Amino acid sequence: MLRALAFAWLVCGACFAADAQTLELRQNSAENYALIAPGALAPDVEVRQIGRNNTTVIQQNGQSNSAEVSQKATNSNTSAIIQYGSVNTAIVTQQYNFRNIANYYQNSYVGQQTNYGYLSEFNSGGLSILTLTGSGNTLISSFGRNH
Amino acid sequence: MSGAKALFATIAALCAILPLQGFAADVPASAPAGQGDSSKDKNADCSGAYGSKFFQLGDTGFCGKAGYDVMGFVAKDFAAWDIAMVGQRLPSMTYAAGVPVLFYYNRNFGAQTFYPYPGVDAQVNFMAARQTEAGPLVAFVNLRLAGQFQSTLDGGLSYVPNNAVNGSVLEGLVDQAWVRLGGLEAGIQPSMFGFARWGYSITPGYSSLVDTPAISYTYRVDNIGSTGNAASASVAVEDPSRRDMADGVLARYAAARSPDFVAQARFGTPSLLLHVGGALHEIRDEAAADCCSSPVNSMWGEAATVGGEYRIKWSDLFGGAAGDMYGRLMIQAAAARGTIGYLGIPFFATDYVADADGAIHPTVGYSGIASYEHLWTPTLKSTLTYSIFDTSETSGVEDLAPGVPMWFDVRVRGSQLQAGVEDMLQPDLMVGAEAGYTWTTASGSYAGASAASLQVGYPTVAVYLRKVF
Repeated sequence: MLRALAFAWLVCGACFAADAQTLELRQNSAENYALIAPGALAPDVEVRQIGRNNTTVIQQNGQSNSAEVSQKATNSNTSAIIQYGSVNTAIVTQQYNFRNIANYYQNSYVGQQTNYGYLSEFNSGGLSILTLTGSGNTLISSFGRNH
Repeated sequence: MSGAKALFATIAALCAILPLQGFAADVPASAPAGQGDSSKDKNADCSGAYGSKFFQLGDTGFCGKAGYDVMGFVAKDFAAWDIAMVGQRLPSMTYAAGVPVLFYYNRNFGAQTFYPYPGVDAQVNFMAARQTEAGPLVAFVNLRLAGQFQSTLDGGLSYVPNNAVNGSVLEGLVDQAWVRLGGLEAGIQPSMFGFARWGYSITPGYSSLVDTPAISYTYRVDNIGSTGNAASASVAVEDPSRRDMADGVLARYAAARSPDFVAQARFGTPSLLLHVGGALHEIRDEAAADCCSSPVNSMWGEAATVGGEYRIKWSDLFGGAAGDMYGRLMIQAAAARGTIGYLGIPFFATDYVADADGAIHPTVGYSGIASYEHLWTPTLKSTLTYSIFDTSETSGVEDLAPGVPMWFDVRVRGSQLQAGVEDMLQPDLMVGAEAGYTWTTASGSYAGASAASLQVGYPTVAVYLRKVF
């Protein structure tokens, strides 16, 4: 079953696609969080989540912004999108009662600087937390035992 | 270093110097340590009053002693992988400061630990003492360079200091520098919180033993009940920055307003030493306030410790069959809330977590250590040390977006077993070897969803040569 815009905020000046690079992000853990706030560098974002509970939060501050979210969940889908540009597009497609076995992962964290900002993904068991942050809101620390 | 911390360190350093200049001129030349007609007699007086290695310092009335302790070692760390932590503030529609979260993962350290590495722990020290009407006046300086040469991620070689202070090797070089008059002591000195040692092994166990700028006062009573029994009570104000465990993201200390308040009580007999200690550590956080006008919240972290050391001559229990074997056992435990630096453990947790709204969540944890040293012969000894720790770090519930809450609860616990043997080749020259194994487990949950737990374990070995004077 499709259910559109179940939980979305749209600040939409003019809703048509902008000409920009597209960043596609996929998650298929049981609990998926995609938290996208790239700052002024605002690529087009596509988030595709399959799991038990899916959450996507997107903040775009570019002149023209495009976000497309596709969520398929056995339990719940949540999307919150806020766009501050003059040309904004947001499409949310949500499907629940989706029969799928979520993946379970070994514990891992990968963080890297990309053209779109700092992209990090934490996978652990049935949990996946993915973030994309711009230079103004990337707050990361690393610590542990000395070797 | 913040302004208040720098001021505190300066005051402590000045206190370390000024009493030496001020009281030295006031003390009568007839002080016991300065009596005698010839320099040989004077040296004999110093040896008799303070110990065989003391000598007369000119006509100052002071007796002095110089010493050194140099240990060179080669070690191998077999930790190709170990748990590492990432603190992060997640972007939030609700809070400009971002919602704090702490991740743990398995990190590859193979490049750093592939080769055995050489290292050194070298100390030189000097002590001067004399009697005054106000009690013994003692000054002590210990300079220390401790570190190792280790492979880097890019295949190079770098010196990794083991005693840097706030990242400064130079600051760590002055290990101790204090002056004591009677029971009053000022300068860089061992913290009143720590017990006598961090186990008998060469590799430190999970116990806090920190030298810190401080001003302390000790009241001591001797010969309680019988000769050799003594009790003491101490209070101290100590530099708060030496024990800060903050990553700058989850926890970022604002300028300190208050020193750490530390108290200690001890009771000792010729074979037993009991120790209790406590500390208060101020938390003033600016992690959220710095960017986003959240209030600078503060609270007090607290720590407590209890420990004991017992020395035994085994022939007292088993008769002549035990020969000349001696042993000593120490057990210590510490608990902390909001000031994990008092536990003496690896940096797996920050002292606290500052929520996006500025609220402070203190991290709680404990550490414990049991260590035994057995003297088989007058020149051969072995050691066995087991230590543990446990930390639990949490955040408050905050919204990533309206109706989308996030919080975390991460627990890290570990243990370490070390066994060593040391032989005295000649007086003051020792050779030894030590092997250990370290276990660590991390587990956590995020917004109520459990993440996978992570376990690592790895052995370490080391051989060393040590010369003391």
